[in-house]
Amino acid sequence: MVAKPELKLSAKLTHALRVGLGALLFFLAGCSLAKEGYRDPNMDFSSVQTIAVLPFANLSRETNAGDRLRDIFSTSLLATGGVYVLPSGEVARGMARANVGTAATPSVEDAIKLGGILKADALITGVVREYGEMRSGSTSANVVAVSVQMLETQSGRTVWNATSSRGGIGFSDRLFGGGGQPMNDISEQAVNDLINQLF
Amino acid sequence: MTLSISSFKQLMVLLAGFLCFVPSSAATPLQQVAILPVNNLTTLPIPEERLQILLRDTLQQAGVSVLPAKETALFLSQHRLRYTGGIDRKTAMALQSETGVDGVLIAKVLNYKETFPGRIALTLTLTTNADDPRIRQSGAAALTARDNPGLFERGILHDFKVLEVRAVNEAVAKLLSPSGAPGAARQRYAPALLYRDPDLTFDRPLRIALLPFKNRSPRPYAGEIIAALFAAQLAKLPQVILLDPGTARQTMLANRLIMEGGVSLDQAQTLFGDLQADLLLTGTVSEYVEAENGGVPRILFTAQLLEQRTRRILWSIESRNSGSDGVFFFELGTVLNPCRLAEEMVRAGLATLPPRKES
Repeated sequence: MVAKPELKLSAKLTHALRVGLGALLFFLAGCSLAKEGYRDPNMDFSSVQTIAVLPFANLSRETNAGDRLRDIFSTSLLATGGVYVLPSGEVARGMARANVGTAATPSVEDAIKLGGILKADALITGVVREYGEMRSGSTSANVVAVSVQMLETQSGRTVWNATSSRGGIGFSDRLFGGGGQPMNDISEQAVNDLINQLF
Repeated sequence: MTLSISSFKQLMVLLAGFLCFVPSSAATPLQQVAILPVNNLTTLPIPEERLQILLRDTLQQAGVSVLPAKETALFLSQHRLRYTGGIDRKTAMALQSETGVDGVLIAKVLNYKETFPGRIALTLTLTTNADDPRIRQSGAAALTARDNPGLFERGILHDFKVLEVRAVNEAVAKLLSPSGAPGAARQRYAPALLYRDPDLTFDRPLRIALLPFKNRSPRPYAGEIIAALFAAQLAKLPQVILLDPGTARQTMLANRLIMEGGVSLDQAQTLFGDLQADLLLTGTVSEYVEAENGGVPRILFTAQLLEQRTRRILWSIESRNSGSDGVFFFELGTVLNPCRLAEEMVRAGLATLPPRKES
């Protein structure tokens, strides 16, 4: 009978492996793209059938960034087939009738009133925090950062919010250049990221 | 007898044009058409009169009777008609009763660049039925001097006039084409996002009113360009009756409808009622970059169909492409004309509409 050779690692090697694994986990946690948003545990999201997407506030330097991302978000949400998104013109009419001042931060009363006028189950507001080219040294790349929140129109409460940022300067951009991904591609990735957090 | 290369080329183009324009016996013949002044959607002045003459001559060579330019001009001045991008019911009725024409040809020049490399794009729509103006036939052409460079770049067109004649010939040939079917949609230009409600069915031909597209791009008239290309493609679909955009414009003016943030349901109701339309088509152009300095064009637009019965969006697309999409080797297949790119995108977008249901 032949005895199997026992594989024994030295104490030093085991220690080094543990430290290495810990460091890897630490860095991976730092690199994580997905940011956990808020989701009201008491809200029945399946009851939301009609949504009004309000104009997004734009904090970037690009003039039309809010409108562009709102367009992509509305079409993507509609394309899921899960909910119906009201036409933007109808939302504009409702906002004018409800006299909503700031679309990005409607008050509870505004949200309830707007929901009644538009016959919408929920409102979505958004803020574009970054949209455009970012530079670091001689490297540049496109970046998009957007956050959205959903307000339920019965009570005016925030029931969901999410944030996504895409693009930016990566390792390969620094190494090889290239200017990163096109703006439209990363916008769509960011919007898909948000919608995945909703459904 | 000697014949210069340039004259020979022009002769060949005219001959090719003549061979294309044998009138179709299958299509209902028109007695006479009026050509409205060319609608300039470029950002620079264009030789409108020269294009008008070229268009009239080409149509006449194809066997179409055209109302003399003087009579058309007289009618326009008598009725103080300045907008020539469409025709409303009242004007179409007056034109028919006063001049006897049974069709109105509306030409839109979408781009026009005479300096090398030349570029030209135009759409032609023929509106008939004066009491209910609708687009019966359409044709479009978008060409550049470098479309077919060929071996050792011998196919590059250095003479812009040849390109101009070729574009007008192509647009007229498509306008008078007996089949009238739109070309095959290419997958590379398919919409990036698509929503199609199962309620959208074409049991019968549905009446579509085309509303203006909102333009968020820096290029002036980008909304009108995409709308013109939608009109040209929609008119070829058998499941659609396309109302002349002039009718929707007139309704909007008469009812003081200003669609700043898009069409609202109240406004839509007014339009549905006045135009007897089943669907409203509208959209937004977010990006329209023309190819300059060796670059390729880039276009991004959205389009929606709002239905009269349900008052809901039943079809929505977001389309975005660049001229180099699907190009891998030696720039083969690169689209240099932005209108050609937009035309392909519109065609691919409309290919996602359900076909007409046979009863």
